[in-house]
Order: sequence, then structure tokens, then C-alpha cells
Amino acid sequence: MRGKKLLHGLAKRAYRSKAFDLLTYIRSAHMNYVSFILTLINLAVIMMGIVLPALRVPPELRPAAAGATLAALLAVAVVLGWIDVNAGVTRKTVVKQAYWRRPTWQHVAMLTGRIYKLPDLTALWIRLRKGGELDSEAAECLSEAAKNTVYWAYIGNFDIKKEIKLPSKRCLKKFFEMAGVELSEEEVARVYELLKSPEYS
Amino acid sequence: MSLLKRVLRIYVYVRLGISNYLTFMIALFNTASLVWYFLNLKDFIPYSHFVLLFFLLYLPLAAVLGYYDLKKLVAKTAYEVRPYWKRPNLFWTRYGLGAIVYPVEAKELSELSGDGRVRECSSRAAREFLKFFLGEGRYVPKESCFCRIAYEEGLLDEEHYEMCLKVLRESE
Repeated sequence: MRGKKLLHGLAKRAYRSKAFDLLTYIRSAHMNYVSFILTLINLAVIMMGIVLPALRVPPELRPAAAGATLAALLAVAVVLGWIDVNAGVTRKTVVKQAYWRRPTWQHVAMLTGRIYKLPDLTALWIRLRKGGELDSEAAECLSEAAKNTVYWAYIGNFDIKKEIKLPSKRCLKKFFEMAGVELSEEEVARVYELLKSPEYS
Repeated sequence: MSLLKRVLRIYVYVRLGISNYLTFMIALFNTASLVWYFLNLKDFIPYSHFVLLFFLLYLPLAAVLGYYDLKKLVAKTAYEVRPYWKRPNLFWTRYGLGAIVYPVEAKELSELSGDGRVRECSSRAAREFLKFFLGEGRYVPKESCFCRIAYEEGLLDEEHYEMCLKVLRESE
């Protein structure tokens, strides 16, 4: 427990620290520009110093040969890259990823009333209140979802923690009941089992 | 599209082409060559045969492992430990608390509630959404009228109302 507290404290400091902002910018510059330029320089040096002499290319032709190789490589890479984004590995990696076919944490949190959009909760609350349909159970469940949503936004912005209370079984049933869906006990148990799993907890 | 944006797009394609295909294949050839050379396999099997055998074994194994990786193993877990798997990003912080709403949603909200405050607040939040879009990252909506209505209605207690205001005022 103390270890977790210490870890949270350190992480909180790191998150607030400007040093990490700076490191993020430096890393971005390095990954996206510097390392790429270094790779190109390495290629040119290896071509000029090792590959072209080994192929017995005359010294006066070596800069042109290295330049042409670089240009050809870049041209092939542009074509491959375009295909990659639109039809290749990058696109396939997205659609073959597990969560392309499964709801994410946030989708499940909204499905189960753990969090929901505050404007919708507010409008529904007013509607039910005006229609005399805001029973104590609906009021409690809507309020719980609204508070959880605010808490989620609050700790998501100002804290390191990310534990959000699970919806109560009563509220889970109530939200589905409001949508005209009766949940069986088995369904409730299965929902809770999944909600407690590492991906949805 | 401006010249700079065009160049940036081409640059991204170049990098994807290089990293996902060219260097990937080169790395595989390098590994095969090093294994063949340093394990003294050159005394038993010609290089071309070894490379063929290497790819015949490696590719099916890698494909099966990759399939399970994306569905159940590291790729799936990496997705779940991303910092914004369970946290709201800037958009969701604003959208979830009602600082911005879609115009169609604004109409739905005011129709649903039949309430003047919600109508006015939805309209302001829809306007904020437009400013958010037009601001291109320089404008962050801070409209907190839905926090106030939720508090007035008793949906939020004072503690959560204050949290709601703080998030919208101070988070960037």
C-alpha cells in the first residue's frame, strides 16, 4: 500500500513536471526527424565507403550512384507508405486489433451507466422530474452516474489514479429497465465478471 | 493543400514504407545471414537454401504468433495500458461535462428536457464546439452551464459541482 502511494506520488510529480514536457518534445523531434536524417546519412556513408568501392564503381561516379540509390529508395518508400496507410500493414494493424471488434473501456462504462454525458443525464433528469417519473431509484442512479462522470474527468485531468467506481447492480438493472430491457441475474453476473476484468475494471 | 502539408504527408508515407517494409525485410535478411554465418551453418547448407528454409519456418510461425498477439497478447495489452484507455482526453473532458455539444444533440437535449435553461445552455455549448473547431487547438471551451444546471437540479452535490467547475476552468 505504501509502495503504491509512493509510486503515485512520484508519478504525480512527474506528470506536473515541465521536464517531462520538454522530454516529450525532444523525443518527438528525435523520433520524427533526427533519427530519420541520421539513417539517411548512415546509408549515404555506407554506400560511399563500403558498397560502391566493393562494386568497383569509379570514385567520380560514387556521389551520383549514392544519390540515385537514395532517391530510388525514397520513391519506393513513398509508394509503399501510401499503400501501407490505405491498404497495408498500418491499416490492417488497426482493423485486426482486438478492440476493432470489441467495445473499449469507455464504451462499456457508458453502456453500464458507470459514466455518461452530463448534459444527457441532466436533460433526462429534468424530463423525468417534470413527468413525475423520477422515483428515488432513478434519481439515485442518475446522480451516481453524473458524479462518477465528473470524478472521472477530475482525476483524469488532475490525478494519476484511474479507478472509477463500478455501477451498483441495482443501477445497472435500472438503466436497462429504463431502456425496456430486463436483465436476468445471469446477465448481471456476467456483466460484473467482465467489469472486474483487467481491461474493463 | 499547402506545400508544407503535402511534403509532410509524403514524408510520413516514406517513413511508413521504410519502417514497415524495407527495414523490416532487411532486418530479417540480416538475422538469417548472421545465424548462417556465426553458427557455422555455412559448412552444411548453402546460403540460398538456408534463407529459403529460414523464411519457410519463420513466416508461418510469426503469422500465428502475430494473430494471437493482436487478439490476446501484447498488442491487446498495450492498447489497454495506453494512458487514455481509462482517462478522458481533452475532447471527452469537454464533451462529457457539456462544455461542447453537437448541434443535433443540442436540439435533442432541449426537446427531451423541455427546459429553457437546457435549451440556452445547449445552444451555447454548440456554439462553443464550433469555436473549438475553428480555434484549431488554440481555443479550449470552458462553458460550465451544464454543471450548474445539474447542481441546481440536485443531480450533483456541491463537492462534484466544484470539481466540475475546476476541470472546465483549469484543465488544458
